Amino acid sequence: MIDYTPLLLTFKLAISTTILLFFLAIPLCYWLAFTRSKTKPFIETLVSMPLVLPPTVLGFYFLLFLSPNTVVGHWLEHVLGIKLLFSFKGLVVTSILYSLPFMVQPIQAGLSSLPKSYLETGMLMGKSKLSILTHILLPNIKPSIITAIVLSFAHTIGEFGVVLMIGGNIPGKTKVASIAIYNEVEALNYANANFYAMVLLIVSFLVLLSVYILNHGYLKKHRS
Amino acid sequence: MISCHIKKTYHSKKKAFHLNINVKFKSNCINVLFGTSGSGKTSVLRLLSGLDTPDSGKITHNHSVWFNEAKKEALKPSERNIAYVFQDNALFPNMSVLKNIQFASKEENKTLLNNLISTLELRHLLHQKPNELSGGQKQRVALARALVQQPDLLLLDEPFAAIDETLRTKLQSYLKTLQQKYQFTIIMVSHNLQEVLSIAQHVVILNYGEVIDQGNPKILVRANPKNTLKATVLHIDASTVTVLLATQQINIHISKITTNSFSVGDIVEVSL
Repeated sequence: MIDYTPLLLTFKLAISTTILLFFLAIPLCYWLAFTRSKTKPFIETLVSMPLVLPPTVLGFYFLLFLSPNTVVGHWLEHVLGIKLLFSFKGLVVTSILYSLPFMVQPIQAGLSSLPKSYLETGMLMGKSKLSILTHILLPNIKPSIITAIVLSFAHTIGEFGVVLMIGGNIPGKTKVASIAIYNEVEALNYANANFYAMVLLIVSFLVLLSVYILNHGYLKKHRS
Repeated sequence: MISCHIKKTYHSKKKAFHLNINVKFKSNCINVLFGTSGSGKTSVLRLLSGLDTPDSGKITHNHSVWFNEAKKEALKPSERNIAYVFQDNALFPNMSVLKNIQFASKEENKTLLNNLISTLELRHLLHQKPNELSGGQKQRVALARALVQQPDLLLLDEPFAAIDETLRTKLQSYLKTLQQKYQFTIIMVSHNLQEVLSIAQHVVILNYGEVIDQGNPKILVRANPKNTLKATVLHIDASTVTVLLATQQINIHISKITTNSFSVGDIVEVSL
């Protein structure tokens, strides 16, 4: 009997992470694309860290950082009443940080590739930064936005190490599909493991295929 | 009157470029900034617009102070009521021609919008996207989008550089018509001597970051022998030297001097 909850939880996590990450990443991408600040390389390095760090390292430090024994963990749990460790909320927060470079880098590259004169024309017209961003800049980097959204979504679907460290393996709460596969293999239940793995494989293939088709169509339209 | 007394040093990897500008642009007329490539023309436009900040000095427009380093005053670009047509036009690719123009409009002014669309012959292009337009059409849309903002000052950075001669003459005529109709100040960058003579009412000559002269363009060419510009010698024969001055080939008759002192490829100074 296959339990569909891990798959539903995986997609719920991927959708929540992608939506929240998109809105959080946009101001950061704008700043990174147009700032002349000397702190830019430092921030860029921090954002890119999840690309090279083993997920368990990140998970381990999140675990320590969010523990009720730390100032932050204690404040979150006792003052705000938010318990992040071994909860779905905690998975979303850590997934956002873990997938940050997949959202930030394509959008930042897209914004940097636009002529600076678009931004300056908007400024001289007296438009606000928000108006310039939403009316001029973002609509002209659609391929970068689609790439960022799909990569973040696909990357969150495939998370394992961070999710295991922060969420544990609680059925219905934090047991996502990647962990369910591991459990089924451990239990030598290959049929179930194969089902979860096949769903993740097909979904990942389809979302990546959609990026290439959409971007190819966009570029063809705008080059003609 | 736009009075501009500023200094700015631009640092690049190879060397520093010093801009030292003391100039007065006339109100309600077409001012042209003329000079060779790298003389600092675009930099002056950027400093006037507020997109770049001078290191020192003062910029005033009539009685309004736009920049005063001594008093730490600097109006934001959006507060100067300037429209700027960049070299690349900067038309927003996601918007149609009509949307591009409407987006720039500070207040709904259908009469002005319709007048500009008619004068610049844009009505049949309104629903097209910038990537569907020719170079000349893009320039006309960029002009309409700039003028719909009802600016006090219109900055044009080599607006007709990538356009053929016939179309350039037509666009110059549009510009003159609109300037006379709406009475605003234009500062236009050009390195085309012919263009300066045909359109400018006031010309400012820049050379290596400094203003070497300013005034009526015809007077500058005919009566100011002190002004010199660097040019490359292209060809020498018995009585004529052909030089490349900015983008123009100019024939200079040299019957009274010998040509032994320079040869083809040399950089020489030419008096206007």
